[in-house]
Amino acid sequence: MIISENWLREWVDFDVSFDDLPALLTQAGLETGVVSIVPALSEGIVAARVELVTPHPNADGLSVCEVDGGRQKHYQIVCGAENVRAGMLTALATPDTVLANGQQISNQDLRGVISEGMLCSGNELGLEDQSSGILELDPHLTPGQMLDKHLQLPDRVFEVELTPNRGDCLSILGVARETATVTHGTLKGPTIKKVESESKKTRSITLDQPDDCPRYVGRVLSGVSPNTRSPDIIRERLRRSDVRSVDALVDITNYLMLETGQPMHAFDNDRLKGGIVVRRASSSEQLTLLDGQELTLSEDNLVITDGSGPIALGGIKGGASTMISERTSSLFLEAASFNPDCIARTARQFSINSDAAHRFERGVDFNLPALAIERASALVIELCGGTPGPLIDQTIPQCLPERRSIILRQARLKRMLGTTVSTQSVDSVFKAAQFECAPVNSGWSVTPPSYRYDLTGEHDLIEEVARLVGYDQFDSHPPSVRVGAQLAPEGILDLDRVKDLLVGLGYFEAITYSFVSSELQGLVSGGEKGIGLQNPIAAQFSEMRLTLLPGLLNALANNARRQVRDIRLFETGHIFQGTLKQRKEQHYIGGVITGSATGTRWDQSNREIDFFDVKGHVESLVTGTRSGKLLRFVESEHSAYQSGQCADLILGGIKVGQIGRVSYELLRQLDLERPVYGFEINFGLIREIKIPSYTASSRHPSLSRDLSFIFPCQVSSQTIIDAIRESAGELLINLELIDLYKENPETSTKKSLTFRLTLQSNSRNLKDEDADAVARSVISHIDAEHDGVLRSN
Amino acid sequence: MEKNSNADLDRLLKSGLSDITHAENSKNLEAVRVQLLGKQGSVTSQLKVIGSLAPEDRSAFGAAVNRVRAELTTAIESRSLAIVEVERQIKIESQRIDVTLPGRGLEPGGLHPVTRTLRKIERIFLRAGFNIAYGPEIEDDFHNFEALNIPKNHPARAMHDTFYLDPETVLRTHTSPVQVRYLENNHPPVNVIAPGRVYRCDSDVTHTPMFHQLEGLAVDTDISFGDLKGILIFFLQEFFERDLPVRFRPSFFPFTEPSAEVDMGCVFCDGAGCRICGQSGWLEVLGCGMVHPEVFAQVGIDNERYTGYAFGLGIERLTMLRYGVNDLRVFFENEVSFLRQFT
Repeated sequence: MIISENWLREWVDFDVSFDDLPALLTQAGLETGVVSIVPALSEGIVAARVELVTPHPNADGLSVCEVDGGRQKHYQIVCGAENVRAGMLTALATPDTVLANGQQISNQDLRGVISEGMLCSGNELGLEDQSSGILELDPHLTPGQMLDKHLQLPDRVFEVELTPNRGDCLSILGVARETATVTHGTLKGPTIKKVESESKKTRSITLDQPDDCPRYVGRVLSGVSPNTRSPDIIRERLRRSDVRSVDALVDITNYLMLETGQPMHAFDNDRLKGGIVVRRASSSEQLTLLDGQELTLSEDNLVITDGSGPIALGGIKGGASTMISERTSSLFLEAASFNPDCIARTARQFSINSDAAHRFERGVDFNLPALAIERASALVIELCGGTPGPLIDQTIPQCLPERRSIILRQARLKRMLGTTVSTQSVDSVFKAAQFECAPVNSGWSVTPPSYRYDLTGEHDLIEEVARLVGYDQFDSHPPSVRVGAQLAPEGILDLDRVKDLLVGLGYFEAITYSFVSSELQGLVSGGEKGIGLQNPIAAQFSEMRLTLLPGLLNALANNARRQVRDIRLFETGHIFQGTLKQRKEQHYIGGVITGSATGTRWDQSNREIDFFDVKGHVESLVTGTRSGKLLRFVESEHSAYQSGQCADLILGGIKVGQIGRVSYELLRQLDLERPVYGFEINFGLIREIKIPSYTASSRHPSLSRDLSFIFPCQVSSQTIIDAIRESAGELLINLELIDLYKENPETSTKKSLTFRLTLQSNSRNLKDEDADAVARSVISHIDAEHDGVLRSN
Repeated sequence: MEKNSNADLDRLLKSGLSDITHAENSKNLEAVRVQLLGKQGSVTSQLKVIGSLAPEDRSAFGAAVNRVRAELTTAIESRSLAIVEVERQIKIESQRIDVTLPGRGLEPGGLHPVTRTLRKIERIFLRAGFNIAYGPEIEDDFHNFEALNIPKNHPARAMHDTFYLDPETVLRTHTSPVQVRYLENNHPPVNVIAPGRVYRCDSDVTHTPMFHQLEGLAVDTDISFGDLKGILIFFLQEFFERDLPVRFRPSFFPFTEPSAEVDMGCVFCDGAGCRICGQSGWLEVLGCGMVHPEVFAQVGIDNERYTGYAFGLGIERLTMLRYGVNDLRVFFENEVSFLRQFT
């Protein structure tokens, strides 16, 4: 809402510098921007009448005008505006004038014709940001007349950004009221005289749905001249409020809405058939709005109807069939009260954001309609002529919004604010706000005014007092620890620990959008669809992620495109599986990695990352955080990963994640060339960790034995590790695979594995015979069960 | 073996000492030692002669040979020490390196700046006795709106550009639904913060469709607006590590009343007015207020017995102010060149 100082001052007297007003309003909850200036016109700008327009002899699109500049002075002006025409009154900048934008006006030769000044647009005068053509002024002006006073210049404006609870301030009147309150000024306002009816022309009004529309006021005005141009003062005020001027009839309804906050509508009275009935639409009734939008209505929508059916969407927008036009000669003016919910519902349903709906859904003073009709009638008669019929006021009083008195307890006020507000302060706040207020036992009884839809309970009055006293007036209480925070139990893995571990392993943390492209997700998840968004912001963000991979891979590809070679990224966040109704939202940790395993080195060639590097990272995440359960990697298949380089992570028998080399298909899709590996872990499933429990370490020396076996290639090392553990007995305290050898890495069908067994006892020094016994047991077990042949050295 | 004369012994000693002195390395020295003091060594053989001498000669000759042996032994030991020292020096010289060559560790990664900011915020509130709670990101209409006093068609819904999954299910538009969930499951007194991702259907220079918020909630028998002011002033001054001015302005949120916007003195110009604060000297940083009675009613908390405050702040906003990031979109592009700056 843009507020003009000149307009505001017609409605309120206040004794505060206008420049200070925004801060005062802001401190009272109306967020107000800084004041900007609509400048006075330079000397030398006067009203002028265009007398003759002839085409420029040497330039298409330019005209040569003879202009009466008053005081017997005539000027020859070259003008490029399309709207220039003989007879119009406009603004002339005479030579030696400096315009608001700094332009110096002088006699100038324009393609062989001397121009003795310039005809100005609103933009050139500093009145508006953009203009189409030169400014057109009221025809009754005298050429040569200075324009400042006529255009109410200079002026100052500021913009108020209103929160949805303050619909009462969506008008000059509303801001004037608030200004009076915060400045202790006086609300005044032009007196609105009743227009005496001069004809009997009327129209019946029936309120079929008084809960939705408890009041409807109208008047017939016959014999009006359409297409009348609004006077400059109205045009200027609309312009400063950012509303386009159309013609007097349309401008008057807009002007009244801006001034009082009451939305109005003008019907072409001759196109109405029979009486007005305000009712709910019946199912599938049709209505074409004045902007051409065609609506199929339902019983949920409130409509204004005549004998022909719906003619307007009540409180939101008029219909095309009864809109005023250049042939209109008789008007039916409407101002009504509507139930905010009803308007909001329909406006939302059809996505219509009209100024009327914007106000009605926030609540419009139900005492305004008759006043607005009287003021609009007077303006119509003044500008367009016409004979007024009687004021038709149809109201169902018991359906008007209630304004019940509210009790504000002084003790409650203190308890909520933490500071005592004196009785006098509260009294003076309510007085300044002009609320109906009476003292009651240790408090106040307040009846909110008709324009305040936001005051319904004691808490609203507390806020009203707080904002008008000023939030800076209340003490601030430094925090005192009230309840100790319950720190996370030690037996639950902390996410921060996981993140720090990954950072230590060279990963950067990424945060990617939780919605991803359905195409990429399909590739990653084997065609599975994520939960879809009804209104995605773009096609590449159309469904919720099923895994962290699409986002991470995109981020990796994005870096690769920027020539980053070694990339390690991780993310933690929710993934969304299942259907919308039966969804599983789970916390996952994921990582992607490409490039060098070691970083560039000056003494070694650069080794490319491989599966086992990433496996090591995953192991440090899971077992390195004391999971205490057995972690296994079981070869598996997954659409995101290459067959034969993909494994499930099985922790204590439960699948907790997956790791693998990203498939060639995905790499191609993302335009990546070097190998990429990825992993994902369900964070919830690895959070249970062991609290350390001390056991004394053995003081007896340990012995070790290295054993090499030859196996068929398809025997997995895990199988052998399990077998050795099983057969070695309890002396085995550590088992390491220390060598893997194939004669020919590509073609050999056999491989040799060398294990180092470390043995130790808690109770005695082991002898070589003990170690030999363990070795024998292992060798015979491997030989018997796993086809392993001991390699003779 | 013949017994040496004393003169012979002297010669033996002299030539032995000379050999020892001339031994250049441990290996030579060892050869000299063997030659003198080994089983077949020249001194050792003299010792063996002692037994064959007449008893009256034994003592004097024995003493003389032992003296020679002792002197040679001492000389060998000291020469050995010297040689070890020299050899070590040679080794050390041969092991000299260019200490300025790059180290071999892998460059560590880094946390996302949003995480960095969140950790800082969490630490401050943990110190003030707050717990941390989390909630789902796919929310039902009830928790995201209804229970927060934002009924269907309320104009306040237009303040949230909501992503819908179906007409009753949304991506949460704020972290406030965690307030409701927490109160459904916990009895006052309550002190909790709830960080997390939130979503708005809006994308331009100053909006991303996903960002992070942190919600705060305190409910007890006597929480006042003064406590709200206190905790937020404390928080902002701790977070920015300076004595910032903080002001509270009336505002509107459906789930709090009284509601306030909180401004702090601009950290870029110290309140003098600059481009970033729009010349006002103030930066809007968060919204807050006293819990609305309707919210208490929705979760069955007695509004007469309990009062509470709630606040919500934007993590990216604070990150931008703290670290001078001037473009919101870079947070989600995840470029290593950006992320590396926050390690």
